[in-house]
Amino acid sequence: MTGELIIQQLLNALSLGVMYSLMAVGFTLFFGVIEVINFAHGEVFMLGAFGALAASGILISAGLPLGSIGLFIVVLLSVMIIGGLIGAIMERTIIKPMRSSPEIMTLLITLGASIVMREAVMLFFPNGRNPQPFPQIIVMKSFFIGGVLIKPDIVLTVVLAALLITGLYVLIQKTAFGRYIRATAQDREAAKMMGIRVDRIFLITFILGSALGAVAGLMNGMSYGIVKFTMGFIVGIKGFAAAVVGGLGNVYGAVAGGLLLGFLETMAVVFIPDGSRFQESISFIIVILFLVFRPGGIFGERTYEKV
Amino acid sequence: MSLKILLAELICYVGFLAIVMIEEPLIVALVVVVIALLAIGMLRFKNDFWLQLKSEFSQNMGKASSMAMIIALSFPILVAGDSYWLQIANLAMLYAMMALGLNLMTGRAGLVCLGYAAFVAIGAYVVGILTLKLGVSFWPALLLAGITASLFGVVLGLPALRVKGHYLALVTIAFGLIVQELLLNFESVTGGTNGLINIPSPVLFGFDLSTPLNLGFISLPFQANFYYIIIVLLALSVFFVNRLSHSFFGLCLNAMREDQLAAQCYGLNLTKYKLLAFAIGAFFGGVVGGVYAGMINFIAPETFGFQQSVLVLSMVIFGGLDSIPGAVLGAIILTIIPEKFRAFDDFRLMFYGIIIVSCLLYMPQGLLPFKHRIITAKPKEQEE
Repeated sequence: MTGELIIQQLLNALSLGVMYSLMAVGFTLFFGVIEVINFAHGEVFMLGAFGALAASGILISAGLPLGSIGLFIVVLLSVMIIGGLIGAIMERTIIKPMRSSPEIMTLLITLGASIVMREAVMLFFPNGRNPQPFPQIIVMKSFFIGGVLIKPDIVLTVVLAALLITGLYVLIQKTAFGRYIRATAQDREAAKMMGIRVDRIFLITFILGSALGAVAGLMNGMSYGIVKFTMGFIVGIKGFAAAVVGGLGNVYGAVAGGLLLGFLETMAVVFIPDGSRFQESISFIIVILFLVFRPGGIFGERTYEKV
Repeated sequence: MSLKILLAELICYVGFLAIVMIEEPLIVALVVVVIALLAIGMLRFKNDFWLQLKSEFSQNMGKASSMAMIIALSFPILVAGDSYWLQIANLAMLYAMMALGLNLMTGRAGLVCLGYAAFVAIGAYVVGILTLKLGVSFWPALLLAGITASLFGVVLGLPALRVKGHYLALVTIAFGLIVQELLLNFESVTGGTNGLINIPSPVLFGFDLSTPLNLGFISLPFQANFYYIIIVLLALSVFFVNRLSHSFFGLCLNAMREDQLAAQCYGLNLTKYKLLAFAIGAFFGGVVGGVYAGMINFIAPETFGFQQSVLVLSMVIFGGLDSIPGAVLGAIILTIIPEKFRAFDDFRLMFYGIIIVSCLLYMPQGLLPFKHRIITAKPKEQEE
C-alpha cells in the first residue's frame, strides 16, 4: 500500500469522523445537561439532509445560482434552523413531559419518535420512499497535493465541523450562557436556586444539539450525493457509540470518540480482509469492549458516579 | 363466581371474532363503537362493575386463563379454516411468546433489551440449519434452538454485568445488528441475503404438519396444526412465566429492577440473576424462531431486524411492563389491528411509533398494569 493511498484513507476517515463527532456532541449535550439519551437524534440527522434537499430545491428555483457560496450559506442556515426547530418541538412534546419518568421510558419514547419521524419522511416527502440525489450545493474542483487527491467537500466538511465545534467550545466555556449550561449540567437544583431558568436551558440545549446533528446530515448529503429516509438510524447509533466511547456528558470526549470511531471504521475496511462486510460488527465490538473495560470513555477520569 | 369470568371472556371472544371476520372497515368500526357503548353502559348501570370484574379476574387467574385457552381452541373451526386469519393468529401468538420473554428481561428484571429479534433469528437459523443441512428432526432441533438462544443470551448478559441503563440499550442494539450482519455474511452456512429456503415442516407422531387437518366434520388448512401447537406452547409459556414471576426468583428480579445497588447490599448475586434473566428470556425467543422457521419454511436475515425488536418492545409497553396478561394481550392487539387496516400497510410502522409515543405519554402503566405484590398470603374473601 502506497503512502498516498494511506493519506487518502486518513482523509476519508477524518471526514467520516467529524460527522460522527457532530452527532456525538448532540448525544453528549443531551445526556450531560438533561440526562436523556435521544434515540431520535439520528432522525434529526436525516431530516437535516432532507431539509437541505428541500431548501436547496426551493432556493435554486427562486433563482440562486447552483454552486454559489451564497446558496451554501443560506442552505446551511436553514438546515440549522430546521434542526433547531425539530429539537425544540421534541423537547417540548416528548422530553419535558417525561422528565420525572424512569430513564428507560424516556429512551423508549425517543425511539418511538424516531420511528414516527422516519416513516413520516417516507410517506409524506415527495417520492420519499426512494433514495434522492443530493444537489451539488457547492462546486469546487478536486486538486492534488503531492500526489494525494483532495476532494473539496472533505475539506469543507472538516473546516465546517471544526468551526462549529470551536463555536460550541466558545459558547460553553466563554459566555455567560455557557456558564448557565455548565451549572445546570453540574447540579440542576442548585442552578435553579441561583436563578437560572433550567427549563429554558434544557430547551436551548436541545436546539443546539439538534442543529449540530442536522448539519451533520447536510454534510453527509454533500459528501455522498444521495439521501435516503433510512440513513439516520445507523448514523444515530454510531453517534451514540462515539459519545459513549468519549464518555457521555463530555463534549471533548465526544469529538475524540467520533474521530476515533471514524478512523477505526475506515481502517477496518482497509486493513482487514473482507473488512467492509463486517464493518458494523467490528466497530460495534470495539464499542462494547470499550463499555466493558473503560465504561468512563477515553477520558475516564472525568466521569462521575451517581447513586 | 367463575360464570362471570366465562361470560366476560365469551363476550370478548365474540367481539374479537366479529372484528376478525367482518371485512368491511365501516362495520368493524360500528362493532367497536357498540362494544364501547356497552362497556360504558355497564359502568353507568353498576358503578363498581369494572372493579368487581377486575378483582374477579385477578383472584382466579388460573381458571380465567385456562378457560380463555379452551375458548380459543374453537377459533380455527369458527373462522371456517380461513388460512389467512389462522396465519395471523399464529403470528400473534408467536409475538405473545416473544413479548413474554422480553417482558421477563425488560419488564421484570429491568434490563433494557433492544436486540430481542436476534434471539429469534438465532433460534430460526438453528432449526433451519439443523433440519435442512444435517437432517435432524424438528423437535430436538427446536429444543436446541431454545438452548442456543439461551447461550447467546448469556453471552449478551456478560457485558450487561458491567453496564446498565443507556449503555445496556446500546450494547443490545449493537448485538442485534452484529447478529444480523453475521447472518448476512456467512453465506456458506446461512445462505446470506437469500436466506434458507425449503426448511422441512415438522412431523408429529407420524403426522406431517404441512398437510390439512381433518377433524371428521371439517377439514382445516395446515395452519390449524400450527395453531394448536403454538397455543399449547403459549399456554406452557404463560404457565412457566407466571410460576417464575411468583417465585422467589421473580421477586429477586424485581428487587434488581428497582435498585441494583440495594439488591446487591441485601446479598443478591446480581451476576447470577442477570445472566439467568437473559438466558430464560432468550429461550422463548429461540423457540419462537424455531417454530417460525418450521411454519413458514423460509427465513432471511431481514425478517429479524431492529424493527422487530422495537415491535416486540412496543407490545410489552402497550400491555404494561411486567404484566403477563398485558404482554399477551398487547401482542395480540398490536398484531391484529394493523392486519385489519392492511389497505394502509405503509402506515404500519408509523402506527407502531405513534402507539409507543402516545402510550408512554398518556398511559405509561400500559393496558393491564402490573400490581406490586404487597400481600403474599391469599386475600380473606376467599375463605367465606
